[in-house]
Amino acid sequence: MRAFQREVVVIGAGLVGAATAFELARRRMPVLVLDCDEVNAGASGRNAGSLHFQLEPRMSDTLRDHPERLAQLLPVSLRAIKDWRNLENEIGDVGYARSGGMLIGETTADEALLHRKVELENRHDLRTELMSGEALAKAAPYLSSSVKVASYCLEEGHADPLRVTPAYVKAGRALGAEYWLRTRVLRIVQTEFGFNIQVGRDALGQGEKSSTVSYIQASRVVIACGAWSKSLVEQLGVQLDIRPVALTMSVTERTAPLVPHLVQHMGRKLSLKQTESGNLLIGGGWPASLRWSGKTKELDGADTVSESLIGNLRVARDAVPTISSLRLLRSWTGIASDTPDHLPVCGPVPGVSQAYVVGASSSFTLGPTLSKALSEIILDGESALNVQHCDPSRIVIH
Amino acid sequence: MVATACLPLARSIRNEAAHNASCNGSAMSAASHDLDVAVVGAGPAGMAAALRLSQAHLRLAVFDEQPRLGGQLLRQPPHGFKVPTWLAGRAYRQHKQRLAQAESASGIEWRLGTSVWGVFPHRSGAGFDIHFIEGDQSRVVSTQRLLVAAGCYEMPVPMPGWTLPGVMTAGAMQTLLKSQGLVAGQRIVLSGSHPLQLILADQLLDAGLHVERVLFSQPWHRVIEALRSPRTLLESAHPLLEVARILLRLKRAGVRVLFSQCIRRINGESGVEGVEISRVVQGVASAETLEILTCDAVALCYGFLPSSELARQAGASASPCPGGGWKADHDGAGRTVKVDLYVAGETGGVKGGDAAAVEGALVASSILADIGIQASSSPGVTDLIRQMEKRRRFAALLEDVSQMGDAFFSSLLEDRTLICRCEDVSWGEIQAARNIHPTADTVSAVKLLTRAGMGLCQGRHCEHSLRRLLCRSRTEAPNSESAYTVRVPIRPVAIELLCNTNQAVAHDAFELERSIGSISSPSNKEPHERQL
Repeated sequence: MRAFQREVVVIGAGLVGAATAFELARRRMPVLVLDCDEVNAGASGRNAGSLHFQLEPRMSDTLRDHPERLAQLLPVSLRAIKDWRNLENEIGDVGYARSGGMLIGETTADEALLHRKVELENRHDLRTELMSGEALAKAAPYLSSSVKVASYCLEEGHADPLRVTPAYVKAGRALGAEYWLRTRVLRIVQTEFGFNIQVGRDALGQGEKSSTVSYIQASRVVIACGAWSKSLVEQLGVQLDIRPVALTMSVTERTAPLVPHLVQHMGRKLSLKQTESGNLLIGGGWPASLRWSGKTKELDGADTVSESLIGNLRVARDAVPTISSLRLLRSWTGIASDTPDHLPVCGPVPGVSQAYVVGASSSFTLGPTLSKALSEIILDGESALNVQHCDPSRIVIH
Repeated sequence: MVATACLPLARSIRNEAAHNASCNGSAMSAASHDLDVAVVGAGPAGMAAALRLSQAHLRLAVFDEQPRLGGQLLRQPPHGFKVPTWLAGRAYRQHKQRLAQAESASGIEWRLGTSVWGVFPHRSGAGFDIHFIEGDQSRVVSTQRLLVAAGCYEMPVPMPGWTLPGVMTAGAMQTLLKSQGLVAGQRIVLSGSHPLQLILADQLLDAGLHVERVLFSQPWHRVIEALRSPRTLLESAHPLLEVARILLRLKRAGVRVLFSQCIRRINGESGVEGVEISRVVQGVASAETLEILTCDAVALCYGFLPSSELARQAGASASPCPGGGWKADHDGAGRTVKVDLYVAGETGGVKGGDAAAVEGALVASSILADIGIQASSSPGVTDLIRQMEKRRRFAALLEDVSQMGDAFFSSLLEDRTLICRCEDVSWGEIQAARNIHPTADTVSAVKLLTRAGMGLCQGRHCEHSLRRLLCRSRTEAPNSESAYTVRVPIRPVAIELLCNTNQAVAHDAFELERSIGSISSPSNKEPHERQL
């Protein structure tokens, strides 16, 4: 058994954990990142890489009932637009493409929601515009004639989920951030000096069975594990309403340039985009089936649901008919997470001094921005960008 | 139509164990399934299994991608097309008999020309939904039990020039000959380590072609050593005589068969123009070129990889094969860890067509026993088990004789050599990624870093090479490795076909979430797994 001491321990080597480590390392904070798997093995590497700054279709209930809450998210989105534009200067190639995004609608109900959404966004300085008829057909000739209306946002696009996190890791390491991969957090206990973190570490090249247990003393701990953040925060005695969401993603074979924009659907759920290599990525929030394993019912993965896969492909085909001749190569699942109000979390774990939690919703698009804000909260006590509405205290389960 | 899997006939002889097995939730819901047993694969294993199952009057269907029965071993010409000397060899006689029986058997629904793209759990919790492409649409059929006998495919071997037109596997060249009498080239060089290349050479001579050279990478003495035991000689007499006959024929035809040599590089601009041959010294291909031959086609023949993707996607566990690829684990009689999922033939480990046929019948017996129609200790079964043991010994002998080590395959690579030909990922790029991320020592981790395995074949070409190369650079036991995760669709399928389905599908995701509201609760899923 060995004991180690580190100033800040970040749990989770996904986009948010790696970005937080990078931001902390940039300000000379010694930081150690732990992950039970490889870098980018969870939702960060499995999502479809959409950069969607418009309010999302999954938020439509909040848009109807609590538009003021969504309005609070818009400044974060505006900052995220800037952060993504600048990201490649900071950490190198991440496959960022600012291609513009079309959030489409087929029905009058979709149209009404889109109207309301665009009005709210414009009021808060996010520039989106409604398009229909000839203007839409000219801007997006690939769309089916059943698409009546779309709201367009110039800033949207995509980045490569396979490149973003590794780029953060590389940049963070260059600044001194340490990574312990295949290192499972077994227990976190708060002590008078901070935290005592017990980890099981696979000895490199020895396989899972010969893991060694070590202890890490950390002054501060950041939990950035997506859907798994809930169970880690629980170890500190706090219950947060972070819900695992199993999602379906699919990819087609490569084809010539066909869809320049990020295409999303307001009423049926869809995200569709074409990557640099020519493959089309199809997703948008169609459910998969969560798998729980072991006696403790630990969240283990997700299985594809055929109705979901086919439903998702049908929306994609209905929106962009020419894709129907393309072959589907692979459909996979990932476990994202969400909160009841669909806003992310970013801030201290309520009642636990020096523990922080970040992510939980929109973590790809907003990840760089939230990570930066959290590093400021840790180092300066508050962030330049107002992320009050992301405070974890709002989702505590009492 | 029979409404339940437990037939009146069967009840009287149903043994206790089978009774328990079928009452664990599966027999209860039999009426809600379309089929009692679905078999995927109509090769030797699938045909033998279907023939045996058909005698029990079950609702039985066999799916295969080919328009006709027989699998790769008995690859038939297309309907309305005749190949006069079709599979004339003696080794095919018994298989051809079985093929004729299967073609005239009653009680088997043949779904030929279909492609199963995914297997999902049935909504009742027992059995499966089989999703397949038939004609221009995707269809679903539910089945109580599923037998995957999907065969194997040949090991693609990366080396400089291996992606040039004219380079193929021995089996592919055979398929052209068998199915339509097509020839791959005029001057052909064969290189590999598997005896199949002798059979191919024989068939190429039959077709009047010029075989330039047959190269075996292993030393001759390894073959002799493997054959030293009298029991091996006795049990393998037939195939050995066949080998002797072919060697003699090749000698008479002036075809040189050389050991401890291999193709080290294939040259050409837009197709094969020639090959560079090297010696193999202590299991490694020498960098020095021994000879340059002019030719227009190359057949590579280094062995076979189990086609276990569908079984794994359906829930079977798998183990790495020593020669490459992953075999679906089973209990020796076809039962996988997933209840109601069975495998037979090469899917569970490559043993050859004769063994596959025996195993198909054996696994059919397991299924009948589990349904409760036949006792698992019946005399026919004991005989099948004995035959299977003999076939396994022969398969082990073949493996002994023909398997090349990791060092050999690595010695064929140059930095520019493509490992993943779908996504154009070279050996050099993989090494560079590994240098930056030294902990990325599984195939999946390297895939995420390099895109190797993300293309049209979904890793069928590259996974085994990648795994072998990673094995060499670490001490980890092969058992603790992971394979590429198998995902649907098992084969690339046009989106149009998937959308055109007989399955009821929600119009939008919100509707689907409402209808499967319990999808995220931890209690709704108990894994149906058993210990092997």
